[in-house]
Amino acid sequence: MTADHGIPADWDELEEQGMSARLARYFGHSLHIRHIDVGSCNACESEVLALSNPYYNFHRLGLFFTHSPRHADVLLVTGALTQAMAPVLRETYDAMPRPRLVLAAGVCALHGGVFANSSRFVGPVDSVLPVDAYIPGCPPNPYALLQGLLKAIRSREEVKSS
Amino acid sequence: MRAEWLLAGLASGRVTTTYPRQRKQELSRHRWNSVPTMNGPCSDTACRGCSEVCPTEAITRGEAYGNAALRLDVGACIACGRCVDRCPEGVFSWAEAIDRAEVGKELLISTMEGGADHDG
Amino acid sequence: MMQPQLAETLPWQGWRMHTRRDDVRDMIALVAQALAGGDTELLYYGFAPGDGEDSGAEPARELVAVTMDRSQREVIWRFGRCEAGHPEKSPQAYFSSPVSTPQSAMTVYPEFPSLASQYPGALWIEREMWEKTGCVPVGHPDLRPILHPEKVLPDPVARGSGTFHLPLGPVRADVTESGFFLFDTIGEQIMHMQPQLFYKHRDIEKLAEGMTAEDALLLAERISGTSTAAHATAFCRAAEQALGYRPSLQNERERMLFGEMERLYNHVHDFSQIASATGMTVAQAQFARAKEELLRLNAEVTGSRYLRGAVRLGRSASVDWERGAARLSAGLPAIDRRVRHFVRLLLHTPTFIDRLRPTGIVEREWAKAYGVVGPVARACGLAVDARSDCLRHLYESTGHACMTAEDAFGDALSRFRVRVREWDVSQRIVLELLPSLGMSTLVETELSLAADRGSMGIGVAESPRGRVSHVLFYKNGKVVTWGIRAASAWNWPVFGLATANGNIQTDFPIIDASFGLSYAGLDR
Repeated sequence: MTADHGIPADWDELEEQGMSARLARYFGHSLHIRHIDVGSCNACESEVLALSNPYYNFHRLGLFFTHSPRHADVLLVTGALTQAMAPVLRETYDAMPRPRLVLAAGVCALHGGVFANSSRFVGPVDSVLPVDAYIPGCPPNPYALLQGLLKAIRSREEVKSS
Repeated sequence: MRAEWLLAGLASGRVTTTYPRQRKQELSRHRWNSVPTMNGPCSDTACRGCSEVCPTEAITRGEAYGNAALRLDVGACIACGRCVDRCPEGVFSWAEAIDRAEVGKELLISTMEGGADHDG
Repeated sequence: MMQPQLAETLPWQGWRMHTRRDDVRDMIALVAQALAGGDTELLYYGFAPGDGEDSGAEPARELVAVTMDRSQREVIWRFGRCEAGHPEKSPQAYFSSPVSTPQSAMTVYPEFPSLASQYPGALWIEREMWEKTGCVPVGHPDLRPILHPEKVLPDPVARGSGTFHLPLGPVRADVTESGFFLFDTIGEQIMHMQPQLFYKHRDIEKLAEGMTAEDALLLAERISGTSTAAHATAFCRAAEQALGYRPSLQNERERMLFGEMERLYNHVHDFSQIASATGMTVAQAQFARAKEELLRLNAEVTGSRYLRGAVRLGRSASVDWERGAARLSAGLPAIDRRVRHFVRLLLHTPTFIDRLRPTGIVEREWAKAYGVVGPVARACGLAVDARSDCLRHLYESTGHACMTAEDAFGDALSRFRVRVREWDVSQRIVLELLPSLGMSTLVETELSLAADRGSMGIGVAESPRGRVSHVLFYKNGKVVTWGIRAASAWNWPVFGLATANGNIQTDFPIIDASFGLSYAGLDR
């Protein structure tokens, strides 16, 4: 499938430049992410945590994890939303200052995946919160998580400028 | 001891990716099974193999989406790889753009016009 | 009554496996007696499919306890039927709004004598059984709902002037799974700590009912994402036993290799978390780097960073072993050198040792009473390792040795040291196994998924966190009942005790990291 002259068919374009400028404009070059696990199997958490390892080192892009939703710009949701976690997710979202972004990462958050028919499954994350970027995968790898973050920021800019 | 830690912290080389800059060079190093992608139209309009093996109904085909059209929703895909193994025509393969992410759910759905008559 | 059959083929060489049916009182007494003996371990305890399965009338009322006697080398499936008639003690009474349990309309619940009153390891299991079915474990010392944390949270235990109650979670610092902890403290001192989990309860066992084994395997891989290979292996072994299929040696060797690859990245992850909890940022980053390299090796060999799809039912993995073995033997030594170097540095750093030494002690008696498994048990000096008992015939040729802590102190440092020793053992097993993979040209016998008569099987594997066991009742090509015991399910009840064992608030992250528990594995 890879043509040796360039871009494979499933390759879309991602604007590489200007990302740090955007981050600076909207979030003061420091975007703080609060991760919440609403019913995942822990593989997603492992991949989210990988963002901070020396290989991906997402701090170089001005991205950070934060402990409190009150300090967060981004809510990164992983897992199949369970009945027990649904009110917790809502509370966490309500505690965040504006502007805020919501990212749904992993097939469980997007659709439910293998847990879609579970009696404890509430629904995809976008059925309870507005979602800015969808990151597929089981689990999504760190590159996909980064792309999801960057695309969400870019789409926010498009909304602002229109 | 402190000197050893200092040395260890400073002198172990750089491994950090340049992603998203030089995206293609970075990603082409990895052949990870992230999500499948469709390579081309399927010529066997009677075959339902892929949609039958898919455990989460991420692959559907049939009248609802045009006569033999295939519809792949990677937003529902658990990357089990059954479709990649199953399809005798090699319609499905693991995506090379392993960093797939979209701002809309509908952007994760791709369709392929089916049938040998059409040139997808 | 449905009479499940034990398959003739036993995957555990040299072991005997048989079933016994007793009156439920005798059965619980026998199990408790065997567990008190010390050589017996409980592999599974729960409900078996009852006669309602065919008539469609009433859900399971039959208990099953699978015990493993190490000295006799036998596995006993004990069945006991619950007696009818306990008027009260409905889990519903605890909820202000009703929850859907199977017998919510019933007023009379069957009862059985509590095993937990004699064996604390069953405390949480019986609470779960009671809440799911309404059957009452009579004599249970702490019968409270466990599966609906959104409705019932624990009450503080320590009271009086100066006590302070600190709720933590379910959303808490850092990137972690969701769980709730209630600390009762006086000043910095932790007096009592109660974990409330099951926030992530996905009801996997129920969800799998009626599925084929192939589809249930996908669920098994997603019980605990960082123990994918272990759960998939245990499930496949259970299913293959139920189906009367004996996996080839090649197939088993691959599973063992995946299991050790999984242990390597999990242990180095735990090193990283412990370094992070003690403020050793350089070590944390270096271990995180090693973990990423191991995940990438996993993906190079199997295509998946978390070994998803690698363990298959009745089939060998679709892996190019020539290439995979070359990549593994080329990649591992460099990672090993780095990890060893930083482990050595840490163990020579007084501030690191001081934080770990008397922190989060698990008393040996607790470990025995609660049936603790994995590195947590081995740090107390208990030789609990599935690889050296029921799986010994597979592992004895690989140079595996059960690594207990040298000092058997049972604290965070002992747990760290056990993992360090296991890091070496796992690598030895990987390097031992590699040359034998991909050599077999034998055509494997085809596995038929349809077992018409009811059948059952048990599968065991040693995950990075300890023994996981899966029990499967299978009929007409479908899963009838599936029981999952993840390693963390045995260790969680002790975690609260160890946290309150003379520790202060700031010790909690260290204890948390040194236990390395999986929330998803317990919650299911």
